[in-house]
Amino acid sequence: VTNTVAHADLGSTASFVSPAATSRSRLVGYWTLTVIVAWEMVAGSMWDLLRIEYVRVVLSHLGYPPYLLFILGVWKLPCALVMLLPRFERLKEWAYAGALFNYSGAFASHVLVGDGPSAWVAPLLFAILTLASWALRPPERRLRAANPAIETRLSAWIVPMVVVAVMLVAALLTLPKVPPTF
Amino acid sequence: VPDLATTADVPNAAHSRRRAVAYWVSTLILGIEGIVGGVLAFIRWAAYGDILRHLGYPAYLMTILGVWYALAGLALLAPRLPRLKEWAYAGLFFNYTGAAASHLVVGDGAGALVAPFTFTALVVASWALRPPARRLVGPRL
Repeated sequence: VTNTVAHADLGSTASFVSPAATSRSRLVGYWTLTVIVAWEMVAGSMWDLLRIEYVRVVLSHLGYPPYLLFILGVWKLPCALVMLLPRFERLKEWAYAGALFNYSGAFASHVLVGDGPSAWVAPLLFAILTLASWALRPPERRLRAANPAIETRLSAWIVPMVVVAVMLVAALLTLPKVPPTF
Repeated sequence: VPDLATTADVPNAAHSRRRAVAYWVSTLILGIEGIVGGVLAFIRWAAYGDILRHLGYPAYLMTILGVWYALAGLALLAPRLPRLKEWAYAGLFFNYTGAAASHLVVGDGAGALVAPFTFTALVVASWALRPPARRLVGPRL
């Protein structure tokens, strides 16, 4: 009997509908998407603030003024940091809003100037990733939190900052050398 | 026995009335500006197009801004929808600070900065003064 119960417990733990397994895969999905979006934001911030040829060509192709790179680049870095840091649930809403405006704006701009899918599929994908990360964010990272536990572990704060710093370096090392073709 | 609690409530009531008036004045201005401005932008009103051209932005940006603008105005004026309101405030804040930065960069004088700065202040005021039914529970930031 004991064996059967233990076996049944293991089975239910591993079962497809187990809440624990669902929340674990949900958490993995949340962090995967969030790190991808944050990475795009950090690298984009670098590309914009350094005004590399790649983004200058994109902006002039879309008809935007070059100084828009400064405005976008300044916002993108805090956007990534707020997404990765614990707490700041209200600022996270603002960061997601800004990210969605950014990616959907880029998508709409490419469509409105008549570019093909190869130009607008990436911003469209990042708009979807942004919404998915937002939808999957765990309770302690969203407003009206069911679990009001406050994150006080130092590592939870240091790790996101280190990740952004590493992303900054990686962005610098992987700058595109040639402009895109449309 | 004097009712101390009631006496103390009087200045609070006046304060909360002033707060509600300030919230609704700033919110109505933003909401109407968003809806009217959004529609005018969407139909590519010439005066708005002139400003965008002066700042170096493409004309089709009016379509993108127009849609978001009108949605933001509707979200601010509608009851409840506290999360959508945060997004609307965020969008309007990015919009007006972006407009101010753009005017600064192209070298416009103080006159061109009055409107974007005023509207940025209205966004912050409306956001800070929004009543409990129109805000999400949680930390300030």
